[in-house]
Amino acid sequence: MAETRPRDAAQTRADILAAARRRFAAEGFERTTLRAIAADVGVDAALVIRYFGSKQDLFATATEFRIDLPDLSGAGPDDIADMLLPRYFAVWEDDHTFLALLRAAMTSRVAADTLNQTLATHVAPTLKGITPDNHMKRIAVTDAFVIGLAATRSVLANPPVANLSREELSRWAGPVFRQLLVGPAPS
Amino acid sequence: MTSARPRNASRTRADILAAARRRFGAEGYERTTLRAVAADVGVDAALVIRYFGSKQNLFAAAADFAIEIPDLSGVDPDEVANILLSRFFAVWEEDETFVALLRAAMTSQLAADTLRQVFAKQIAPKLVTATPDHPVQRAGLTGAFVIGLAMTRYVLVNPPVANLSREELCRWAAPVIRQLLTGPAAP
Repeated sequence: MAETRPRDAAQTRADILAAARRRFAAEGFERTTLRAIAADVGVDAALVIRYFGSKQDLFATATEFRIDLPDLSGAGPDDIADMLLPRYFAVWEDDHTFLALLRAAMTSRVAADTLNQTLATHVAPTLKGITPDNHMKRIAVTDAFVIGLAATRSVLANPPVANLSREELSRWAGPVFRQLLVGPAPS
Repeated sequence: MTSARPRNASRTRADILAAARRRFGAEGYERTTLRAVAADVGVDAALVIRYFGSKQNLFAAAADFAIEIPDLSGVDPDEVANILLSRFFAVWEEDETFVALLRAAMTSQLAADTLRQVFAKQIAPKLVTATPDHPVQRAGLTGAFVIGLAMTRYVLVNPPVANLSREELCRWAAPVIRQLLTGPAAP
């Protein structure tokens, strides 16, 4: 109940976002209610609306994940995986926002569009810095590979892939990144 | 309603499985109810339980399908990718079961277990027949790539992936499958 909590708006906002990520990850977009998120934090649903607007607005804010890919211009073909993968690991294994979004995107068009939009605005421009040709095709298949690895490791937990150390995975993924991003275009 | 249908048990079982695949595919595992599946077929939920037991068992039965990947031992590496990709399109575009299983597996632990079993029993044993070494890792990573392609193309409908023609997707995916299954091992 709102009046029993100290009136620290920043903390409350942060608590709401954390609760929203847990709910969206566990239950998906459609089934998550603002009322349930509010109850998790011990505030009124009206407060959630006042801070974040609609459920869709809250979802967009809660699942806005940062992915800071390094500048790849000038990177050698063999260095690409080593440069990219630590950033990808940081997003898909250390930051629960991305997994919440990925799970929600399986059953919600809104969430899927949010994920697609993030890939288009935060990932594609960086990758485009090194692709020599067929930019969108190279980036598309690279995104598919990365999402497949993330899902297989962190959500499906398929042992052959989940059990690989980050270093092992990096070594196996290296030739794939290299081929997809800068290798010869298939005829 | 039960009385209105001819008493043909095997036909009814098949109808229930088809309805279950549609429901699991559209709504995921958690939200699908036996009652809704029964209503789709025009039978009572009790009959679904009598035939299949629990929702878990119904899901396992609905997801139990043969992927029919041929034995790949001795097949030319370039041909391996083509064989797998043609199976890929057959499985994912002509049969909604796999999309259903994937959607469900991303949001339900039980469904994820089922998908891991399908991989371990039906897919990995065939893939390893093409691998020169590291069979577990190579099969697992190939599976992850295929899951990523399916997820971006059919579930997220990520435009850069979804807009690729089959031929374009095959051209770009084949070198990746070839590398993961039969290329030089990670150092």
